[in-house]
Amino acid sequence: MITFNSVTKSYGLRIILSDVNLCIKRGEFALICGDTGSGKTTFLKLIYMEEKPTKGEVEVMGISSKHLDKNKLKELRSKTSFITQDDNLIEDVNVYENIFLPLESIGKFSKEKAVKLLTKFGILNLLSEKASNLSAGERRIIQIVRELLKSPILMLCDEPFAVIDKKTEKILREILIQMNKTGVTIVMTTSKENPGLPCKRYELKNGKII
Amino acid sequence: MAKLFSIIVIIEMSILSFFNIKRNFEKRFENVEIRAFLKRNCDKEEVLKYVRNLSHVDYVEYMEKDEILSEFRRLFPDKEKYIKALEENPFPPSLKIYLEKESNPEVIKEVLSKLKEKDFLKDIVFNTEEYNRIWMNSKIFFWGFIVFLSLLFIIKSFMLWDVLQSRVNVIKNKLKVIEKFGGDSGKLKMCFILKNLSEFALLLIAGIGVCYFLSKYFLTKYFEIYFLFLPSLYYGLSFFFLCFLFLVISLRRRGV
Repeated sequence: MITFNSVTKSYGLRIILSDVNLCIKRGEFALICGDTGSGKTTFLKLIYMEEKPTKGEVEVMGISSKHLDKNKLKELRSKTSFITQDDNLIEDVNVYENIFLPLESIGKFSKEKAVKLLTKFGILNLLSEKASNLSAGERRIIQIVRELLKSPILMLCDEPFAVIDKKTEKILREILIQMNKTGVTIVMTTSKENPGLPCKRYELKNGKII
Repeated sequence: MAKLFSIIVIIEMSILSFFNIKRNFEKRFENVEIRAFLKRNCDKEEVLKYVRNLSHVDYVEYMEKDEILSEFRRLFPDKEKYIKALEENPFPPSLKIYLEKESNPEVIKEVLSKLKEKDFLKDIVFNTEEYNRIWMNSKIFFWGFIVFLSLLFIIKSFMLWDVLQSRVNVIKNKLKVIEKFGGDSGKLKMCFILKNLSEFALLLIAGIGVCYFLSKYFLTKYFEIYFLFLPSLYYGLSFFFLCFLFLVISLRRRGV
């Protein structure tokens, strides 16, 4: 599903990942742990092809970072959900449009599913609220809902429990476990020692996967 | 939307004012009349031939002394004393010389000097000083108004640019999210352009409509500002084109 072949990523002189070799199988629940600044987010961005490796090659669902074009990138991203730390919402529009527009652009919008999920997270009342008026936690939940509604094959989560409350965390945990059971590959980063998830743990330290 | 609408109405009103003032200006200096009284016993045909062939002269009317008297009677029916005096001592035959459209003081000066060159005229009635003064004042007002309108147009263009920029910023944010999401942004771009263009068209029609009714029921009555169809049409088309151009430039500049 995901293969890192001798991947090195650096920003200027600062080396983030150094000669990383890794293979994450289809249906796996991978947990990437590490300290702040260890390269966890960069690791996910490389999978989402938001960043290109300085050296080496990343291959996701048969799409290589070396032979990437617009269509392949679109194809990869339409099958992959990415819960980022910056919530990636459209400031000037309301919650409904924030969910509708991106999902509609990949032809995956379902009103029933959206209402069901928003109700589950208890934020259905926020539909007409402008994104700029939401709290950090609410924004994160909207993003999570939007990414879940994408029905992905691969789910990337960058510190998904960072700004949400315990109740929401529990719901998200259950959903992720459920998704993984149905065959969705999940790669999640966390700085928590024990997130309590049935996952395979990878440790990022000094730019290497241990 | 309100900002855009106000821009449309203000520019349209300015354009209407400009064309009305231009029309009034042209009307005021159109077919200026010079009255020349002929000496007795001069050859009428020769005089007419000479005057008609002068440059800048549009047409000439010859008036016999009886015609002048009847014209005076028609114009001043209550001035019996003067009419009686004129009957006893009538005006000599005269020429009404009408000049071409919009004659400036230089043209008047040239025509007057040509008329004075010949000795068949007894007197020429034309207040050159007054004419020059009115001409100068009207020109100053006219050009002042053009400068004012140009400034207004520039300011409004900046405002329009600003309105469109903010709209483009919104679409840019949307496209950025969609692109990151892996979606197809082509449809959204097309929708954005069509939505904006149809909005411009509707606002333009509404704005011109407002100006039409304002002119019809208020401005014509109190300020003699008439609604002019052709300038409004040109304005509408140019405004639409300008908006389209601004939109495309803004989109290009933002890399959308």
